[in-house]
Amino acid sequence: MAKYSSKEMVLNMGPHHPSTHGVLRFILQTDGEMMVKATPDVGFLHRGLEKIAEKVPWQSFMPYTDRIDYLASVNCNLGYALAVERLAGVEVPERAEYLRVIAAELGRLGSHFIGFGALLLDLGAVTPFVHALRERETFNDLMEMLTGARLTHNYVRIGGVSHDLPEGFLDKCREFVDHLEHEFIPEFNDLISFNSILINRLANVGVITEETAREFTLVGANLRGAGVPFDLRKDEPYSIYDRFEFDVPVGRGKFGQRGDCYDRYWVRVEEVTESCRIIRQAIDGLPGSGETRTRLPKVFKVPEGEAYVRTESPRGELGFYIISDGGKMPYRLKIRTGSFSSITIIEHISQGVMVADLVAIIGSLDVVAPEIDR
Amino acid sequence: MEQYSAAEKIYELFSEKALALGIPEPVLVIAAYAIPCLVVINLIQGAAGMLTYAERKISADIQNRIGANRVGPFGLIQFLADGVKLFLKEDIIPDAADRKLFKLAPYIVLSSTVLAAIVVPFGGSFIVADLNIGLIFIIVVSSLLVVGFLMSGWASNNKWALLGGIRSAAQIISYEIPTALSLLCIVLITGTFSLQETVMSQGLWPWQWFIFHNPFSFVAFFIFFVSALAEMNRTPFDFPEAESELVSGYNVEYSGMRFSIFFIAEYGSIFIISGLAAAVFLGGGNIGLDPYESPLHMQLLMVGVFFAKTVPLCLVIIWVRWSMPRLRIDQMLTMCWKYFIPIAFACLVATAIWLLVFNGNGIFWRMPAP
Amino acid sequence: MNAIRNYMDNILKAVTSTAKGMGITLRYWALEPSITVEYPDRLGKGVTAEDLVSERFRGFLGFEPSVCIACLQCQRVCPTDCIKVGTEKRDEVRFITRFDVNQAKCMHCGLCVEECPTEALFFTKRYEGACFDMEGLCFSHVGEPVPAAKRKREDGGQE
Repeated sequence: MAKYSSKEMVLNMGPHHPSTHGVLRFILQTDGEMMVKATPDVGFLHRGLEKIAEKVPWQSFMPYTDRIDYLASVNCNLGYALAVERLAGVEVPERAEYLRVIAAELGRLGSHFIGFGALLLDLGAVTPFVHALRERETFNDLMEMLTGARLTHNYVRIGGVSHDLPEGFLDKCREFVDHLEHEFIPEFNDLISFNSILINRLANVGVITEETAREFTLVGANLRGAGVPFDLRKDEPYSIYDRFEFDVPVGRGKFGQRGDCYDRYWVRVEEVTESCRIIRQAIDGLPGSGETRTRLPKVFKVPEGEAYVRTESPRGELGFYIISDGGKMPYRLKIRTGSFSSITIIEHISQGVMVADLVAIIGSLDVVAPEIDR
Repeated sequence: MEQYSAAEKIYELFSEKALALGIPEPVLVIAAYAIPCLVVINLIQGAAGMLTYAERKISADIQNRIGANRVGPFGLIQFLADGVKLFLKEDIIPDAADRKLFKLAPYIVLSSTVLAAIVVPFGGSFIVADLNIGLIFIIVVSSLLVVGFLMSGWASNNKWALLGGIRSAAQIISYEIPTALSLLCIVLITGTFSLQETVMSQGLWPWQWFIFHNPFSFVAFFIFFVSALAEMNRTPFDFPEAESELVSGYNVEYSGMRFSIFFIAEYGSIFIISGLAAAVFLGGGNIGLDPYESPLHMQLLMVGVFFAKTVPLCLVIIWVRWSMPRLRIDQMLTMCWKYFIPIAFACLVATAIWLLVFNGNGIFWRMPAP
Repeated sequence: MNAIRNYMDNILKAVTSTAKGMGITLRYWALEPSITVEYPDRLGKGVTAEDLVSERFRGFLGFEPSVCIACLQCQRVCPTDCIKVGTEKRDEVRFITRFDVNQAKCMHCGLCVEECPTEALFFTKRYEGACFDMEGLCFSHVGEPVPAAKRKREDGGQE
């Protein structure tokens, strides 16, 4: 009888696989359906943003920050602006602060729709994804009204925001938030969140314990899903987040172990409601009129020094570390993103799961490829 | 009862005239057998086409979209445009593929669907062949699907396709059992495997249908329906072609017409399975008349009744697809072996006991006097 | 007993949650209207693609030479160098000899429009720019040299 050796199968998942969001590649070693190891291979979307920053003026780098995380570009704008403002000592008008918060929280909504929508799409539920996209369409329309663009908003400027509110924006915004909180989210939960198939798919899959999450420096919703109540808006308030009242949703093991895929999914769904609360408070607290932008000198120079500002983007902590040599351009700029730390943990938690689970894990970590590679 | 075959009927009808015209007998025999075959193949293709259209429109409605509306009125002939497009596409066979198996696989898949159509009674005397082993035949040919899927997965020489093929083997083979067991509940009641007789022993009104024969046949209907979903690879059981996991599964390397044959087979089997469910559980095209003795217009009415039961079932299958996420392969097998098969067995035994206790009568249904 | 209860519970949960979800999809199927727009050719009578966008929409760049003072701020601030301005001094009058915008490179960030002191540079609502050649997206807004408008102040902004 001939001897057959059994070998693990090596599968290339991506870079053009439907469930590797963006351009990602995983090298899978599988034993049939069971995964032995999944190694992420990143770098397909590297555009050298950090190097570009050294070649363009301080203000002109702002549109590039849109491209760090294109699903929530205002949040990236905000991080960069805050970093430069801290170093240059630029004051931001009160009204602009509120507009920034409204735009950033809208961005968080828009990003989470794609985040959990794409997870559900990967699990084969197409209709909830389209329903989430329908809500994102309203978000796009609102942002188009406010900033003039639908994807790369480029709204925040160093020392303020680019435009004041257009007419009728606040009413539409309030309507949108009410619709989300009272109509969309309950219906969405009935449609899919409490579906027993979905619970079976997500609960007890890809469990990240608190310690592992800390070891791999997970941030944002993934960290909170593991049970760590850490939110920079609460723990280290930037901008004017200390004025708002909101809760930090934490994974509690709703249907399985704490820190599984369902917890991460559920944290995102709950964050939508919390963002709605913040937007409503910001609309109520918005000063009636006033400047929205501090005028900068024509040749804007930032004094020598360095600054690190971290903000809570939809994908977690987004840090901008800038060094200035006193010139018109940054000397060095480093971006720390949440997706990069999320993708490092995939290799660790994907051992022994099935191919279908890997898809759920990638989706539940809400990895966005351009943010990994910058 | 004698076995009925459409080909023989056609031969009887036309033999005298044709022989008088001088057409040789072998030609006549071949024609008599070819006509029902062509009709069935075209029926399946037409049904598959209309179902793709329905799928597009229903998914669009559920998702606040418009759906196909450009080709023809309301986009009704969109499927023809799709067919023409697929026909004109380049037919690619990968270099490393096993060419013979690669070419053969789509036909096996399609033939399993078309063969199953042979014994489905479309109402009246419109049945290709009323085999006395009809139900067994349908179960047997529908597991031919596995061979086709495995073959295409293996021959593509693609790991994703292979995974899809293996998944489909595991899935279809396990779901054969609950399907067959739930059909057996009805066989117990009627005492025959012939589909036409099963239909004839029901009636026009809902309480005469076998789904309401006893509580267990009611459960059996749902078991049959859900496990039939799994046999057809429909969501929530569409593992072999799980788009976001296996790219497209067993048909990932196929293109052009070969790909569309897989597609026709998939949608055709939706129609066939719905027809089977309608015939076995919902009374088929029975309107209380003898299908063979009635005049033609009554027979056409029976066909209408059959379609009025089949089409809603097809729509339900599509509706399920757009409401559900996909299970995982091990959960799917758990569901089959831990839930469906025990429940189906329980139904079978309970039905048998019921028949014993109530002398073969149902809640409303009465055993016909011998 | 517990196992049996679990078993029954699982079946019940699966059936009810499925029914709930399917009820919602049925409502959408039967009642909810579609919200999509049939772009580009069935927008409705007299509606063009440009009417779909908002007031502030950042489309292609438009240029009004008569008010341009040739301060070159737009060229300076552009992150992608897609604006090229040429000026020339003839008989003590500054002429704008070229104002080229390469829309293929432009990322519609809006920094140039914000910098422009005279609103000579503005956004149009046009956004459909599909063409077969990249050259089709390079626009020359100035053909014959035109005299630059007078500045309000005479200092600053040297070329």
